[in-house]
Amino acid sequence: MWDCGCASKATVFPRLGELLLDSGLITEADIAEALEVQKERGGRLGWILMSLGKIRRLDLFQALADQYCIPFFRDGVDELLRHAQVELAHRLSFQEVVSTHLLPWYQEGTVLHLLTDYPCATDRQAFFAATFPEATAFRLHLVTDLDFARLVQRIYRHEMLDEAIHGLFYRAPEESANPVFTRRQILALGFLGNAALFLFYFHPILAAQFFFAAVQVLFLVSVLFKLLVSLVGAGQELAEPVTNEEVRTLRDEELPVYTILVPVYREPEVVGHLVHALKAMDYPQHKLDVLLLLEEDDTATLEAAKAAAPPGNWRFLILPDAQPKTKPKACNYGVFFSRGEFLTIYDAEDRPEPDQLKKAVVAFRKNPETVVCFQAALNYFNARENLITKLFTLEYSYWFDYLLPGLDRLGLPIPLGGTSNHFRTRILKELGAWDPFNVTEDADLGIRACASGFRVGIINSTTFEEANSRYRNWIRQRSRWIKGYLQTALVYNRRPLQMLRRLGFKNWLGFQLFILGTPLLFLCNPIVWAVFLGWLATGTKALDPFFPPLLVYIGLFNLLIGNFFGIYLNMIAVYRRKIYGLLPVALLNPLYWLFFHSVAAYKALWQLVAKPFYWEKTEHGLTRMAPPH
Amino acid sequence: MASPVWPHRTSWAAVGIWATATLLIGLWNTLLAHQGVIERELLYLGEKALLVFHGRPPRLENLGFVSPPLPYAFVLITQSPLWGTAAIGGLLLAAAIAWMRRAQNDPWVLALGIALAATPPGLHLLSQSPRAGLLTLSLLASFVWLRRYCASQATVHLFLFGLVSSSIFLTAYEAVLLVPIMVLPVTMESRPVRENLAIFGTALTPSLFMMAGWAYLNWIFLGHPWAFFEGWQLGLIEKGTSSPGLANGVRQMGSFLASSWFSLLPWIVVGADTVFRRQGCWPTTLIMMGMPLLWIFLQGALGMPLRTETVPLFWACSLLAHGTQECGACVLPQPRRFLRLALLGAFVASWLLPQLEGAESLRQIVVGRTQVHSWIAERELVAVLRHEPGTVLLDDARLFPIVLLEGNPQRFLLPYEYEFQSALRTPSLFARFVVVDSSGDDQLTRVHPLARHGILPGFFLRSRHGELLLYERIAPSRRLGPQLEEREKRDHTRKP
Repeated sequence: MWDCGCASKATVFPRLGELLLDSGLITEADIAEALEVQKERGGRLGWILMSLGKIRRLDLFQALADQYCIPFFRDGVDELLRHAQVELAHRLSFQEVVSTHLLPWYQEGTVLHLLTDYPCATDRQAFFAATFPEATAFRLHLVTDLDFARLVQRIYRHEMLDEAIHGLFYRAPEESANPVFTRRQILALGFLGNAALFLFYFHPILAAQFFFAAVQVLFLVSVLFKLLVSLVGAGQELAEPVTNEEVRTLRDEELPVYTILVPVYREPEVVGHLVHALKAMDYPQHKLDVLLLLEEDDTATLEAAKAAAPPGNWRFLILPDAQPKTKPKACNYGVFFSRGEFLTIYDAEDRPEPDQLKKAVVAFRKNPETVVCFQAALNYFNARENLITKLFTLEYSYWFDYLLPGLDRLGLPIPLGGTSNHFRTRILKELGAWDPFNVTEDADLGIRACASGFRVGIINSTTFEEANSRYRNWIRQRSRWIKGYLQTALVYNRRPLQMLRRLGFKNWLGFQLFILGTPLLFLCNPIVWAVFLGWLATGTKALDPFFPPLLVYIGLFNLLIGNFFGIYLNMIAVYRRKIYGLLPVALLNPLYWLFFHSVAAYKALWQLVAKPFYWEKTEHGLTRMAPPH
Repeated sequence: MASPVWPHRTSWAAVGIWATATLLIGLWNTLLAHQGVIERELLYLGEKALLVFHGRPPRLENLGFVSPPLPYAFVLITQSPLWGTAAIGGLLLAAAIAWMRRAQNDPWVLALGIALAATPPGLHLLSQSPRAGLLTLSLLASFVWLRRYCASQATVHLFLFGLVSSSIFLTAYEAVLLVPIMVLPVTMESRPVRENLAIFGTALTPSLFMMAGWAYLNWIFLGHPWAFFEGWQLGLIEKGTSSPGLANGVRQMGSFLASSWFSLLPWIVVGADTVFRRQGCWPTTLIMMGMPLLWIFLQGALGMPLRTETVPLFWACSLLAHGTQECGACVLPQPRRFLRLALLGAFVASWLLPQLEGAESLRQIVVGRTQVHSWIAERELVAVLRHEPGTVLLDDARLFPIVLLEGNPQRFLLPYEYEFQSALRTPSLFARFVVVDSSGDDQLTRVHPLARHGILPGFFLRSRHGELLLYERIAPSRRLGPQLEEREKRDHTRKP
């Protein structure tokens, strides 16, 4: 017997609004406003009232308990756990508990007592009857959604952590970045290294020629590939994947619940801004499922988030104190509790454009299910702060406004950016979510989606972030990105031929040129410059044997034309966002490559071997410029 | 999320037209060469390419440092000035047809426009002027992208304009001065100053970069940043050219308009229509219409001769510009009919009326009034050399036709070779023959000024062919005689 208070007694439920009015918790005006919102945007009245700030969470749940005639427990998680028979809960996986909103609490005879934060959903009875055949009756008890989440976290602490960290590794070890190098890769690298040493010993000139030729050709191919993709991307400049008209025609009541994951760690100074930015989103607040993912030892950020007074529909998830404290782990953890049909991630310093979620919804509806994710553009609000932020802004404008649209247009795999990627939640879970061992888990996920037959698209909406304004901080961040690209390249080159079959030649080549080619380009860059500058300064003829004429011409082409394209593509990047003041800064692009990217690339290469899973934390909140409102 | 659909069917059609046109022009060029008609420019580029592959030693600098580099690249790849030029002509024709098809909806205008390619100036441009052909192509392509940018404001069009216009410098150095003039109308539209400056900067950056890069490469490899300009002038500008200056530019412009006005009828019609109607991107269109005239002025101002290839540039600009017009609001009555008549008039006039040098030779050949022979002196001299073994010493800065026409560069001792400077001082130790241009100034005549007048120590004047003097060594040096004989025999047998 499924004992759900009044429902089981076949009584007509009293209306929630009337209950709240009778108890004096809201006024007639409040209920009228909430009903108006419900009429326009749909959703549950209780959540609307809570997201409007008319009632407290505890009052809402008390009213729900009254409505459904079930007991409501508000004494806290510890008290609940004191009575809990944990072994009952462990007969279910935490995913089943979260998806059914029911947690077995304790059993009295043949009566199983269940905790829920979502009373009287009748479609779960059969499942529980099958799982607990010894129980003849099920009795529900209400807890708040926050308590429910905390209970699940406490009871399934180890399982959830293990799943968040090793879930992908267990399901598809060949797609996890752990270990960095497979045995086969180590053997191949060893063989190549030895072959190179032999060649250098017996035919030093030939070996050097081969080495320089490889560097030059790599550089050339990489530059030309980026030029091609950028040209195609620039051709899409005026195209709008989602038009404002399409956004306007969306009906709020038809919008799905949208989960927003916000992983934060030691960022108390920026979390308040994020709360304001998300409050300003043009999306029904009661349909936003915002999960603030906090680490257990980061009380400062938790306090700052509470002080920013987020709406009632926000949830704070406190992650257990365990290594690694990385963004992908936190996001995987958040995915377990996500309720939305769609899901996105924002960093603490992000300022998404208000219509971004609606544009994503339109994009999802316009495209087939095979398009698993849409990446919004990222850009910086503090572009004019100093030279580093200017260079960084130019690079990002080029990357997100021209390069990614080019990849999209050519149908090539798109490495996702760190935030503002919008997913179909169900497929994201099927894909295994993020790899916590990959330090650019986003780029990895984009490639994995492509390898699994899905596609990534782009939407014409921007999230503004804070550009790194300090050199060391910039190097830390970029070295992590480049290391992640190398990890991704290694993961998907474990079985290159198999990957070729899975991706198809075009995607495979695009992946190699983009994911592997980008770090290699930056690694080659100082070699090209060193040879050239050494030759220019000394006029030495010692290098002549190493550079046959064809190689000289390719080298010159790389030096002149390669750097020219680097500059010119960055010049073009100013147009879409009308940041014309940054145009002269594009001329510094060769220096940006050399003293920024290449330095970071070598640091990344070293870390790939020495500290492959080390997460170089980027410090935020350094800017003196105010974020946009 | 749509997948790309390139290449389009029209792209394949353009490739087909290019291949066919290249074949036809190549055959036509071969026919002309047998008739003795070949332009100086083709011989110049041909000789440079020949030295890369068959020089003694192969002149590897010529892989990348022959000016102007873009026309030369075609000759280098095909290893033939005739087929390299044909490839350029085919490309120009295919591109022009493709653009006209997009821009024109009047089949008569399109047909007559294509027919103009079969006029003496058109044929000369396509088959005998690789530099002018590529310049025409670059200018037209630049305008196509600039006008698209003007209409769409899509950055990719500005980007492509920048890239395409930078090829102008690598085709004809002096024409780079036209690029800022092209961009000016676009930057004078009502936008914020900063945006206009950005557009101007973006459009010019590739050209500036090409200039700086090319000068730098010349400095590094040839020791002089402007070596490209001087080398090209020395080789290609014919003797007796008028002195540079603005007045000369104006004079040249005037004389061109006076001599060729009938051929320019389409240009006059479309130009008038553009001025009267002032629609759309009309300032850009107007600049486009004025570009050939500016080009003539620029060449005159720089002291370069008036060339016949400019006439087709007028036609191409007119046809492209006309394609942008909205005929529903034409000021001129029935401009299409006017244009058809003008095109027909230009076609007929170019065959009936005398043309400028170059095109006139072709007209004479086709009309059949006279037999045209060019490079008579060089051919006669080469005929003598072909029957006599032995090394030939000459400065190929101006005498490059002899090297190409002879076909075996291994028997020539040329300035790039290590021994050349020694040979200049004592030619008799190194060469059996010496060739001198009595009217010119080259390295040989600088060391041996009397060689212009038939006196060269150790040599006697074997023959005179126009202004070319062929010297032959009197007798081998007694001390080195056998070695010299042996070496010459060896050199002569090392044919490629």
